[in-house]
Amino acid sequence: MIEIKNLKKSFNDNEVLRGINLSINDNEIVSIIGSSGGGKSTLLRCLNFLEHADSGTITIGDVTVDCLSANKSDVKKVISKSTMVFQNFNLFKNKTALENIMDPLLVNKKISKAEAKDLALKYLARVGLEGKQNEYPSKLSGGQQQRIGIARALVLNPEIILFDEPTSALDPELVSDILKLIKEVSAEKRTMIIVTHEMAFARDVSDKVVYMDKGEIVEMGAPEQIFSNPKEERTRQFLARYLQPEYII
Amino acid sequence: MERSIIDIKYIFSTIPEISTKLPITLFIAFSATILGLILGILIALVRFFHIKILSQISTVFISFIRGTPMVIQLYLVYYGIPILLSAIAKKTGHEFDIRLLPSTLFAILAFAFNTGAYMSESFRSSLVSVEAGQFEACKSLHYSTWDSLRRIILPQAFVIAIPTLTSSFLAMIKNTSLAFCIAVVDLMAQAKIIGSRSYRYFEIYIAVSIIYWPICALMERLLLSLEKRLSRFSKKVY
Repeated sequence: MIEIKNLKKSFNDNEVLRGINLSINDNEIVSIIGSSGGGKSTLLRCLNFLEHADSGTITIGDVTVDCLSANKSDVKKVISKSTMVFQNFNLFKNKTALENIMDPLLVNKKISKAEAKDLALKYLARVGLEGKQNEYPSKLSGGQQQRIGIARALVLNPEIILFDEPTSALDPELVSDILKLIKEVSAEKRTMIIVTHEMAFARDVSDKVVYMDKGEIVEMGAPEQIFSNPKEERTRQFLARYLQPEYII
Repeated sequence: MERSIIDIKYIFSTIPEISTKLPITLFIAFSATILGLILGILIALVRFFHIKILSQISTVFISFIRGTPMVIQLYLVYYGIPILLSAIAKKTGHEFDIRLLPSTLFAILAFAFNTGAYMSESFRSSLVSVEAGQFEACKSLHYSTWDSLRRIILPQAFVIAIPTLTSSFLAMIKNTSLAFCIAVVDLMAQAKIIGSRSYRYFEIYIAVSIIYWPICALMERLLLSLEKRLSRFSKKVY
């Protein structure tokens, strides 16, 4: 269970999150949609403290952190509940494909190198990259890098995986591959929060869709309700813009 | 007998005798570089993480080192450390004989401070140039700061720093020629001693350059191949 209460975050004078309230059940898959600059990514990054929110509370499982008076060990506990898949992959550049998956295991779990390697190989195969184990990220395509990014986030077996626009940096023909992989992953029991611009995917995979604009949650609900029957005018306008391209070549 | 203007034979005949002090020069250069590397990394981290007080001290230290001549730094260490040590000895009621410490030690310390200050700036700039995303990935995968640095950030930063570190190291080898100022008999001092016997200083200086140059050229090659080896993970740029 994730419970976010009145979360606020500003960058200088720019208020990016204006009091977010959101609760997410265990094993729920939540998509966050909205225009760029609406605070979606910031919200996600506040959940694993890549950004430290200015105020509000974040509860994950049995740990609650008040962002105003956060103590280090609680923050650490919250961070340890989740892993993240990044928009631009952020694979460790000095590690091979296999090492990228192995290294987090060696750092976090008390297992031997051989065990870590076996497990990492299994995950590498699972994302369809057997044979690429000794390649460095600089030699891999964006789609391959993101597969490793996903394997790396999975291998620690976290309660929550945060996806920060996982397909936004990919070539159009690679997008569906990665979305398919995320869908496969979503079949496991695990909470997933996905920031995405892929509306069809969000509709297909999510239990709940959250529409954010200008630092607020405008509307949330089941995907059918948000996409077919949005209550708010802003949501309607946003979806209209997204589902009907404004230009035709 | 009339002296020839330049005595080529003499140049080559002195090289073996001057070279007997090559180990001292290299010893000073290597030890100072290793100490300097450690100091440089520490200062760079202190400044990178904006650690209070230490960061300010480092800034002043770097400014001082970069703003004063190497020779003066040598003298300051050579005269300053004995004064400091005997003051400490007096306070604690111990006898302390400064002659027990060889001048080579002071030379190494002075050069280490100097090169450490310069290297810290190389390290700091290379730390800054490692993508922020690498830190974020570490944090999102629950790495401690120490693990992130050791396993991910420093290995990448080090590769970026190698070219400027190479320059520092070559400068260090050549700078050791100043150590004769504090009574260290290195290549340079040995050359001067031999020169004073024959008064053929020009030939001697040619001889000593013939020793420095290939050593530096060799080191440059070695460090270039190290750079290539360590940067095997990055895209090749031809």
